[in-house]
Amino acid sequence: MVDNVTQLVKHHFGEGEASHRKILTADDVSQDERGICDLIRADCLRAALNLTRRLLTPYGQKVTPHSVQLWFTRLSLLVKLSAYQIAEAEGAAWWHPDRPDLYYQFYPKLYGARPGTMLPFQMRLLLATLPAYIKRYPKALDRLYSILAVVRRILKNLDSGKKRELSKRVWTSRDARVSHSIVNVALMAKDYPLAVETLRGLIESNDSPNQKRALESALGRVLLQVGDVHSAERCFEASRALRGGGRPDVRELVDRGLALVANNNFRDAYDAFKKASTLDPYNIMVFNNMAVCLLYLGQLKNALTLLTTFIHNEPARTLTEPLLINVCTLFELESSRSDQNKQSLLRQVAKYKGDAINVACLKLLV
Amino acid sequence: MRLTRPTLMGPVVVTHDIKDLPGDLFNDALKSEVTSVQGSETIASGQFLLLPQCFGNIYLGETFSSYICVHNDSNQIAKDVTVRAMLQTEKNSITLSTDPPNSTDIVPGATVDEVIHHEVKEFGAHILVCEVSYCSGTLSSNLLTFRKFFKFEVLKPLDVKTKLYTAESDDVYLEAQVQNITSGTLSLEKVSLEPSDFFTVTKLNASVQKDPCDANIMLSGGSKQFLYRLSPHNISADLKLLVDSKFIGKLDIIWRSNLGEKGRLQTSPLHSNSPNIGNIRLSVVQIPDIVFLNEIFNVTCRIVNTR
Repeated sequence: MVDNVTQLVKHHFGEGEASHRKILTADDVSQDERGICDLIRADCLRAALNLTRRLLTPYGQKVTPHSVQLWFTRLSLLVKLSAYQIAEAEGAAWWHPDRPDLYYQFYPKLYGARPGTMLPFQMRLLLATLPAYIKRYPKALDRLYSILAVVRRILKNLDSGKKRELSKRVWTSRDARVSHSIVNVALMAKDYPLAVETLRGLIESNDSPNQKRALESALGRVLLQVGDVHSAERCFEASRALRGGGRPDVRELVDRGLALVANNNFRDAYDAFKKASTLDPYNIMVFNNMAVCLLYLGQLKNALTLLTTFIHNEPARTLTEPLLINVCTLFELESSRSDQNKQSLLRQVAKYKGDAINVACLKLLV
Repeated sequence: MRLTRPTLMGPVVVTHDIKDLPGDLFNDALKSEVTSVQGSETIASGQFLLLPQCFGNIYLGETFSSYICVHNDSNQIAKDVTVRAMLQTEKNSITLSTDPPNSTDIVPGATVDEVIHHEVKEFGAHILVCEVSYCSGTLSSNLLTFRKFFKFEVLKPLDVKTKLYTAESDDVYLEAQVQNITSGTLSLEKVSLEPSDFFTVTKLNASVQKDPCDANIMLSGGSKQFLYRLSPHNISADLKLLVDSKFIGKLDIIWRSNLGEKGRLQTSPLHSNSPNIGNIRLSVVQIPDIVFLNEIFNVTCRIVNTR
C-alpha cells in the first residue's frame, strides 16, 4: 500500500514538495514484529501492513502461532485503514472452526499433547465482525452469537471454585466484549432494536456502577439516534443518578449537550459543551461539538476560527479524519474557493501525520 | 448547505489482548481516538457530532433549514449587499429571509450569513432561490444581481391507513395503521386523535402496562396500530347534526428521527361511514347478555325523531 498523502501532495504541489515528506516505511525498521510495532506507533499503518506481507511470505500456507499473530495484525491493520473488502477476502479462510490445521493437536510433534486452537480470542472476534464492514450483517451476527454461545458455555462450566476466579473474570469480560461487538454490528446495520436490547442486557448483568453508568450513557446516545428523545433523557438521568455525588464529568456534560441538540436548542448545547471544555481543554470532540453548534447558530466564521486555531496550536494531535471532514465541510460552505484552505490543511497533514490517514477527509480532488 | 441534524460518529473498534503481537498499541489508539467515549471505548456509540455530508431526504411536515452564506471572493468591497431567499413550490412562493432584507457592505473575504427555517407543507418539487444584489465597489450606483437555485423533492414520510366501525351504541371505533415509509428509522413521539365537537375520545392503546424503559423505535417500513373509541355526547339532541356532518376528527402525529429531527403531520379530516338513518332512529340501549327460556326479560330501546 502506498502513502496517499504523498500522492496527494505530489498532485497538488508537485514532486519537489512531495520529496520533503519524511515518514517511516517498511524498510526503515527492523524486519520483525518489533518493526511492525514501531511503524504502528509512528502512525504508519500502511507501512506496517507492507511489513506483515513481507514477514508472512516465507510461511506460505504454514500455520504456526507466530504466523497466526502476523495475520491477525495484518487483518487489524486492514480494518483500521478501511480496506474492508481486502480484509474480508483475506480473513475468509480463517473462519473455519473445523479447520484441523488451526489446532495444536494437528501438530503433535511440535506441541505435544497441548490442546486447543491457535486462533487468539480477539482474532476470532475480529474475523466474526469482518462481514459487517461489507454490509453482510446477518453473517457477522451469526458468527458473533456463535462465539457468545461458546463463551457462555465456558462460563457455565467454570464453577465458583476459588482457583477459577481469575478465569471467570477473564471470560466474563469476554462475554461483555462480544456483546459490545454485537451492539456495534447492530448499529452498522441500523438494527436499533437489537442494539438497545443488547445494551439493556449488558446494563442488567453488570454490577459495577461505573460501567453501568457508561452503558446507560451509550444507550442514551443510541436512542437519540433514532429520535426517541424521551427515553434517551431517561437513560442520561439514570447515568447521572449512578454517579452519586460530585460534579458532572465531561461525558455527562456532553450527553446533556447532545440531548439539547436533539431538542433543537443549540445555544444551551453550546454552553454545555463549553462547560465540558473547561474540564478538559484538550478534548477534540468537545471543541468540535462547540463548533457544530456555532454553525447552527449562524456563526460559520466563529466555528471555523475555533477549529482552525485548535488545529494550529496542536496539529499533530488534532489532525484527525473526523475533525478534518467537519472543517473541510465548513470551508466548502464558506466559499466556492475552499481549495486553498484545504491545501494548507494538506500541507499540515503531510508535515505531522503518518500514512494511516484517509486523505478523502480533505475533500480535495485527486 | 442544508442543516439537517448532525450525526453521532463512533470509532472503528479493533482490540487485542496484551499477549497478542501488537500488545496494547491498538487499544491505546482506540482510547485516544476522537470518536471513542471514555469508559465505553469498545462501544461504537460516540459523542462526536459529524456535520451533514449530503442533502439527504426531506419529508412533508419536517422543517427545512439551510445555511446561506454569501462570501466575497473578490478583492473589492461589495456594497449594499442584500440576500433574499425564497422557496418556490408548484402552488406557492414563500419568502424565507428577513423581509425587507438588510443591506450591508462586505469586504473581501467577509461573508453575509443567514440560517433559514421553513416547515414544508407540500409534496413534490421545491426550489430554493437565493437572490443576491450588490453594488460593485468601483462602479457606483450600478446594482448587480445574481440568483442561485437549489432544487429538492419533498417526500411522504408516513402512510396512514384508517378503518372505522360504527357500533350499535353510536360509538365509533377508529383503527389507524401508521407506517414509516422514510428510508430511515424514526420514533413516533405523539399520535393523538383530535375529535370533532360531537365526540369524546378514549385511547385504547394504553391498556397494557407499558415498560417505562421500552424504546419507541420504528424501523423503515415498519408500522404500528392505534385504536380509539369515539363516543358522541348528548346523542338525542345532535343526532341529526352528527349524522349529517360525519366528520369525526383527525389524527395528529409528531415523529422524530436522527438526533431529534422533528416532523409533524395531521391527516385530512376523517369521516365516519354511519348508515343513512332516515327520519326515525331506533337503537337498543340495553339488553341482557343471557336470557332464560320462559322468563320475562327487559329490553330498553330508544326511538329518536331525527327530523
